[in-house]
Amino acid sequence: MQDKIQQLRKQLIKKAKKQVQVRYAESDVHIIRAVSLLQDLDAGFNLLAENCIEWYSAHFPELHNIVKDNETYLKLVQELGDRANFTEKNAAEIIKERERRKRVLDAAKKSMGSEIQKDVLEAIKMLSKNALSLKKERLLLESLIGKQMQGYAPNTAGLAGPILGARLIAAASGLKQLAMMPASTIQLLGAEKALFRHIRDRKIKGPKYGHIYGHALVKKQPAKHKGKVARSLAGKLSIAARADYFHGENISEKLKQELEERAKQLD
Amino acid sequence: MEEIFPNVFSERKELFTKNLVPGTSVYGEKLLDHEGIELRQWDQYRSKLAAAIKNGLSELPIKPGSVVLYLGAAEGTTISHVSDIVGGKGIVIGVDISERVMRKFIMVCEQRKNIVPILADANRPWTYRDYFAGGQISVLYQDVSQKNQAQIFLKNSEYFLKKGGYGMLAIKAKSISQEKPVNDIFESETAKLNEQFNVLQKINLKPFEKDHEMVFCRKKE
Repeated sequence: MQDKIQQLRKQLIKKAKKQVQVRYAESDVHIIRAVSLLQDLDAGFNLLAENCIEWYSAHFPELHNIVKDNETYLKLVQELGDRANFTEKNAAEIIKERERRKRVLDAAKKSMGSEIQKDVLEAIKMLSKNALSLKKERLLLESLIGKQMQGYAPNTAGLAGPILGARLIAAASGLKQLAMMPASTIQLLGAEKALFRHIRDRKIKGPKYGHIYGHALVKKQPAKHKGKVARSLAGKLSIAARADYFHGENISEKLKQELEERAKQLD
Repeated sequence: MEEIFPNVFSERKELFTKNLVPGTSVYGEKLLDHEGIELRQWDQYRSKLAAAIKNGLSELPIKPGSVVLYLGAAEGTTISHVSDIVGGKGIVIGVDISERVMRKFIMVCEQRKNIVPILADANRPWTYRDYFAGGQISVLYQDVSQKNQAQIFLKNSEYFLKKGGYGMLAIKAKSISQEKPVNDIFESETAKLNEQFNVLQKINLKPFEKDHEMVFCRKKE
């Protein structure tokens, strides 16, 4: 009896292992990981950039008022470092606009910032280097998601764009689940907090869109049409996800056209 | 240290089970030596079964030698303690639908010779009925966060639980409704069990879990 049970147990462990293996061989596993990492990378970049700006401002406080873009700012810190290195020749590559460049160079000469020790400056440079490398990784991930989505879910990617499409797959926790969802659920993916707030207290209005708010067509509508376009987009997306999951042909162009026509009718 | 149920120990506020595989800790819990027996700490904040025992479960149907069908195995934290209690003569069958948690659960199964993993949907018991004959299960334990929790419980009981066997159902009110009062949900869910079960005890899992209740029941003869 015990032997038989042990035999069955071993078989079932083997079977479960196989099932896990099959699931993790699918593309959407990687798409979900990559798109979730994308958000964390952004958060990480902002955190490091903030720290770097705060620290470097001891040496050159005026710079952040003139260069608002974090990436450009970090490049300046990493490549020029000391305020004395802010010369026309050095800065020309990084700040393209002439007007702005001139303001930076002027500010560097008259800066109220204090002098900085060499090893402290090295630490700040290291920080900016790390932050910039996160940006590089983000670019790499974006192109990976684009490629993976093109092969795995071309319709969803075509209609929503690869990143938004991936975000929807992640929110549904798989292409299969997304394909099984009604359009109204897809419309509200990512707006769960607002939705449940509305369900608990009906006086609070329900959300009209979740992740799909990021779609260009929804964003550019006037406020009174946003909800309507979001609803049609969700409908088309559910068709696209089904076509992808059941290996239909590529119909994303047709869906896109129909959607744009619908948006035009609204005015 | 006091043995409150077979293989379950209690000291002050903490619970312990006798370690089936001495020397190994499954999820980072504390190991303890008590008169030559190795005990594993059982955290009532992480395990609903431990919370139910803490809140005064009258009788523990899971005993040495029991055959337990455990739905909602997750990463195998609670189930490892169930495995401790049933010991080498008993067997625990753990069912879960998610591949993500199954990865960790399989590793627990390989360590403990009395746990069997099944990756399947508990809502469709016929997909795994071939692995063991019906009516052999002595305890059905369920902890799944599904809207039709009670229905899943009844379906599995119909297929597998023997007459006079015990059932333990952890009801999570918030997966049934977000808006109805919690106590009404507990009542209506428990009422659904009446056709197959006699309810022996209902235990609110406060303060260890929010809006959860453990229903302890026995299948009618």
